[in-house]
Amino acid sequence: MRLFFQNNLTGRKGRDLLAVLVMGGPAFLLLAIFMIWPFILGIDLSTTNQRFDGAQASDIGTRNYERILGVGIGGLPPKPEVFPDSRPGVGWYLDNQGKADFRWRTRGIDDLDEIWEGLENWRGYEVMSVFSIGSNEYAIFARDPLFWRSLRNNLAFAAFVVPVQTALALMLAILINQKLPGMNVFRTIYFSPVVTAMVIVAVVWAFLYNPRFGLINQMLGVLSIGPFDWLQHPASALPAIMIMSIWQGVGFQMVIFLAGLQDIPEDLYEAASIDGAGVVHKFRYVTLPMLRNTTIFVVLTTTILAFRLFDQINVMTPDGGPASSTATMVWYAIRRGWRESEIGYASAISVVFVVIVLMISLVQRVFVKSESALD
Amino acid sequence: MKRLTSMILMGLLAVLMALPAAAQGPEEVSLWFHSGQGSERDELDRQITAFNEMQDEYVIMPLEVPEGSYNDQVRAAALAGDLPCVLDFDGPFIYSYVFSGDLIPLDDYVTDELLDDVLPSIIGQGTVGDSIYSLGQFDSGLSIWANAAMLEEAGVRIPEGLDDVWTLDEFNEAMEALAAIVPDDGYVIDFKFTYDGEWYSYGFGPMIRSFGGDTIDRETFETAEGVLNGEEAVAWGEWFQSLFANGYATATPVDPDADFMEGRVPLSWVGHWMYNDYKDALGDDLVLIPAPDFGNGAVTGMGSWNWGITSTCANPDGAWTFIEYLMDADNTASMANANGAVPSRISALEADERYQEGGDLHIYFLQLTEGVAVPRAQTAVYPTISTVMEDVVNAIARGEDVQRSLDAAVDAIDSAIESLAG
Repeated sequence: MRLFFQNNLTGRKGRDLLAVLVMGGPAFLLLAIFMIWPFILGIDLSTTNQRFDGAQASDIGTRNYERILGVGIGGLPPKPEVFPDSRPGVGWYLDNQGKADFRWRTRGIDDLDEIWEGLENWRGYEVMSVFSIGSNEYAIFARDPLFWRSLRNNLAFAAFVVPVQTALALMLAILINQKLPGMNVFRTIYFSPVVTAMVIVAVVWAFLYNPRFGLINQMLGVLSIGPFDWLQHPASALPAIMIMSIWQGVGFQMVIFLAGLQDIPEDLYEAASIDGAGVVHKFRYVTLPMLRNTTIFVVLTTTILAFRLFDQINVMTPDGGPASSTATMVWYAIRRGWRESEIGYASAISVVFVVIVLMISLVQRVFVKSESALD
Repeated sequence: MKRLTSMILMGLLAVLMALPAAAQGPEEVSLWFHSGQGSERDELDRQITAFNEMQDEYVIMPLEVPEGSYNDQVRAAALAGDLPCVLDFDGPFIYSYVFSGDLIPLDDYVTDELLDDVLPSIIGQGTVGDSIYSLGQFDSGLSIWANAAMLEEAGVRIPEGLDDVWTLDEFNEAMEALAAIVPDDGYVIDFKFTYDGEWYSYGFGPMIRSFGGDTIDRETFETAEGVLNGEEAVAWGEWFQSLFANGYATATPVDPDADFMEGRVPLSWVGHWMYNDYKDALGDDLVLIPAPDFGNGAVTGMGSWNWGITSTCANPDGAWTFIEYLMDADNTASMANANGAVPSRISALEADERYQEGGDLHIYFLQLTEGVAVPRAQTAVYPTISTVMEDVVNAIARGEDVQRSLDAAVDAIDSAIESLAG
């Protein structure tokens, strides 16, 4: 098989190129018109302060990027013995959970260095989070904390969803690859969430997660667990969306794994059996190596899909809350560009987003170098 | 290949030449409106059809646009040069649209005779600078719909008019008393947390004002600092949060309309648009309680959807003819009848028994004419205020830190002001 293909390819190189152009042309054209050209326009827009609503746009160079990426660590004054009752403009206070927080309202204060040496450097920044080393207090200052929170949420989402969804998909694929009667029913069941629109799935799950009337809490209530504020608590909102996303998306990867599994020649397993390999060994030394390319494809696409996370957020936690715990980069770009009409700034966010995703994909490629079976 | 190209070109040419021929007859006037409640949509459809049939000069081409992201779509259409001729929009967005040059003044069209018979609040909402840009068929009413039977059971006083509105203490006592009588699957007050978009600014901005804060400094319109995150606004936030923490209200209702109509919830903080449904469900038990005085005087919302003509409109005369038709006293009356709002024509208002002493909606009339109703912030950054209010009201209801949430809201509004100033 391999030899046959190789001869064909080398023998007809010229005609092959033509075939590639004819077959791939429409796709390349569409990519150019709807992906590459808009991206170039986006880079151009990202250096302006273009808005949706009429106001004149001007070229502002890299200022958008400076704002997105502006971040640093600065020292804060020590926590007071007794926290003030009324909130100071700049200073420590206790939030409603009894946690010390640093309030940072610099407008109208002439010299911030008078409050604490070095604070003046951070005018125009916001306090993203506070932490202490020993007895010293520090803050991470960012010009646009929401961007960094969105990035963090995206990374957390991908770090959990990609391995779990891939492993789960492989497991399901092996399960439904058994030659048992009625398997098609299970295949259909596992695949059905994929063909349902994400928005609909999200609406349904938002009801399931309802703290008082939702099915999930009511079922847990039978076991005397909960109730949980699934989508209303910063600690559980993103995990809740992860679970739902995995449930919705796993069928797609499962089908790809299934195709990969059915491509593995039966005689390999037979040979392994003759050599005395058990189920575990067959999986480890036959199935997994033979699924290498499939796995790479699944991991790459799942990663990219994970970074594109938007639909679920827009339906289930449209404000990116609670406490920006479900803000994601695509959500943030759309919010700034579409709802707050800052197209220039949103374009800059998108460009940074594309660069980050590209870098992650490249790193993945280096780590899992594919050895194409057709080489 | 060449022949194919020329054939396509010829085909296109034929289509283009046929177009002017097809345009003979009535002139088309495009129109966008928000898809609000069903009875309101039906009534507008009826009026459009009637207008199209009664004259043959113009034909209105309506398009229904979802309400939640209405403003976003208008803005996108404005940027793409695709705005319709006649535009329906929620009142306070007028400052942003006029600032962007999307609307034309109606001064040359309106007559004094018409303006003399229109509610001052409608004219106020439609005026920017010295020009009037929009007119609406109705103004809104916002306060508390109550289930009188449940209130009586709990021994809660029902105010008669604007002179004896609930105070903050009385409101809190009512919460406590009603909590004792609501069924297990009920709660005390519905704040319509299933809505999205403009509701949160419209519905809760007045509450903040009644506490002494506001959504922006209305003297300068240059900052929200100290106003939306000052002591008074924080006091509102902490009180509002306590309603949710104590279980009097829920930020995650499933069907709050049904909760109220089926007697699980005695109070509903909502606008006039629920009147017809509520009335059908509760009958004589439905009673309107005026906006409470939370310390800084009773405050409620005003302004509603209204009609303007866009600057890209090729046929402003046709657009005005239609708006004038909508503003006809009979049409404003039948629209108000369909959606429970306050008709904008004073003559229609006076003819409607529901707004007179003892009528179901008399409170709305009093609130609008006695200075309790306050317009939303008159600023070009209003769209940001609207977005931010949706976030911050939800965040506070969920239990997030009030000060931090309000500070973030101020940052977003102030950064929008700076960005708009360039």
